[in-house]
Amino acid sequence: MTFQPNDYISPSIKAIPPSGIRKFFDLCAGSKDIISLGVGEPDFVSPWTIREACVYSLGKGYTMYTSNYGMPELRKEIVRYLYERCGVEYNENTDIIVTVGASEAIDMALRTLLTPGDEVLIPEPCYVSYQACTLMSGGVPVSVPLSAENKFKLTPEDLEKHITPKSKVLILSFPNNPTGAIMDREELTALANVAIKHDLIVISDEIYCELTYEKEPISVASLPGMKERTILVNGVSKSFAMTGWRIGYVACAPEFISAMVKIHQYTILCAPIMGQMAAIEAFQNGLPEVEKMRTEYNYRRRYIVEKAAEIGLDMVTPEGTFYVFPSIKKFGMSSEEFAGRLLQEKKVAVVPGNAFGACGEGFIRCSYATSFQQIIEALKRIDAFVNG
Amino acid sequence: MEQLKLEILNILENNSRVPKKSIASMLGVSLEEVTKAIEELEQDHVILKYTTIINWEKAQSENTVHARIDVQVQPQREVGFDEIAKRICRFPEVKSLMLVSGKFDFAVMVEAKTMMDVSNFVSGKLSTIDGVKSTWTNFVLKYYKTNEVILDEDSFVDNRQVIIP
Repeated sequence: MTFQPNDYISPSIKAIPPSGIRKFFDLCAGSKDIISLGVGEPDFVSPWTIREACVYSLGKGYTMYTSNYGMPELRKEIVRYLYERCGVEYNENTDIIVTVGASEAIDMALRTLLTPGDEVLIPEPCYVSYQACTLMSGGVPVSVPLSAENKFKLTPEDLEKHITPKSKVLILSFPNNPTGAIMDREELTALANVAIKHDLIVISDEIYCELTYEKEPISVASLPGMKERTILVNGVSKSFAMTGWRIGYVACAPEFISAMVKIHQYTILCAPIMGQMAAIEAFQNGLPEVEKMRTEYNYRRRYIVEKAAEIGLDMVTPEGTFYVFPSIKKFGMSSEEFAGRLLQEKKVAVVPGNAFGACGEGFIRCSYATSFQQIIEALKRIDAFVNG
Repeated sequence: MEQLKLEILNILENNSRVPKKSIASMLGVSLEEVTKAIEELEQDHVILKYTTIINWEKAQSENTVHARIDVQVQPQREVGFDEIAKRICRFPEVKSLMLVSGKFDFAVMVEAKTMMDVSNFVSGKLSTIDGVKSTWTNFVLKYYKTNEVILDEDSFVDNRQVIIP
């Protein structure tokens, strides 16, 4: 009998469905000269002051491990930032862990909270890792479909419909990837009341919190009664254009931190010190650059919303992130077919909406984290594709 | 100044060729509003001129010589520095003129065809103005950055993956 590596892979990992995006990525990899609206990261390079600070720290020999929790200076900056920007008070010594991106923080939070069989409420469309991380922790993902009619916001009614005695965790991610939806204070407060009533823990992925337009971002943890039951996840990736540095963080009650740091210390040990040094500079001197990037994204957002309407793409006007999520239902194609043909025929890459959950079917995600010229050209091509 | 005008100025300062229609889209206002605002900005001399930043070295034209002349002057009763400044400004060789703090009073940016032209301008015109006490001429050897643009920088290559969730 021949050796079959597949026979040795854990059934629980085999059970995780392959990423819908992966499939499409492979399709794109073969094409040349394409304009991509499929990129989920800023098109800006990390501000120079941040890059320079990292180079300087390397010159000084900062190449060692840090505390499991992250460098004290960085935790201090994170606590100051969360207080000033989000209005939540944390203790730098007991409430923070610096992680390898927000992704690690989400995984760690779920692993810390879940017992096999616990249900995790996941409003969809959403970022691709929530379901997989829930499954890997033995939890049961429960999709809560959001609709364009409700502007892709989560309503208390939709949430309550999916709550069972086994519900333990609610994952919120506003401003939302892929829809660009954000939640107002009143809307979030109504959800918070449901979470308190049903004794849910909220994992709030606020990685896009610096990218809201016209309205200020609201952190779930800042709402009455929510700080103790919220695991706030954030990072420098999207706000400071620092995706490759892999610096995220988690802020929550000390008891959760003590439990989470057990996972973090044995699997990761600590986030890379180079990224941590860069993140300190980002918090200290990078915010004016964030403001500039936000202004530029907003120009592009308004432009793309107006042009998409002219082309005849129906969409909810996004109020955050750098995505638009138009409906393509009226063109009589599935999301994958639309994206596949657009790529082949017009060389424009977008992400099929169903990659972000079943209810994303009938939509496509277009990122405007790309230069104005590229956006203008891509929209021309999409116009030619849908209007012939 | 109203917010709309400030936003228009920010866009035009970065790229004066953005069509008014696009500016309207970018700011979420009507074309008429943008047209009116720009007209007012021009009338009020807030917008002075639409120019182009050129890397002349690459244009391989006849090279010109640039110099910064630091000038120390004796301010005059009642008019201070302004009268002397106005006189210096009128010379076409003078590209820009600033009153600065420190050891000197004026920093004068000068452009001419040759070094000799610059030196003739300084000795013949500038230093002979009443009230000018002394001058220091600093020739520009190379521009690395001008008007916020870094010259001769490798063009940016987008190395991001095509699809990222």
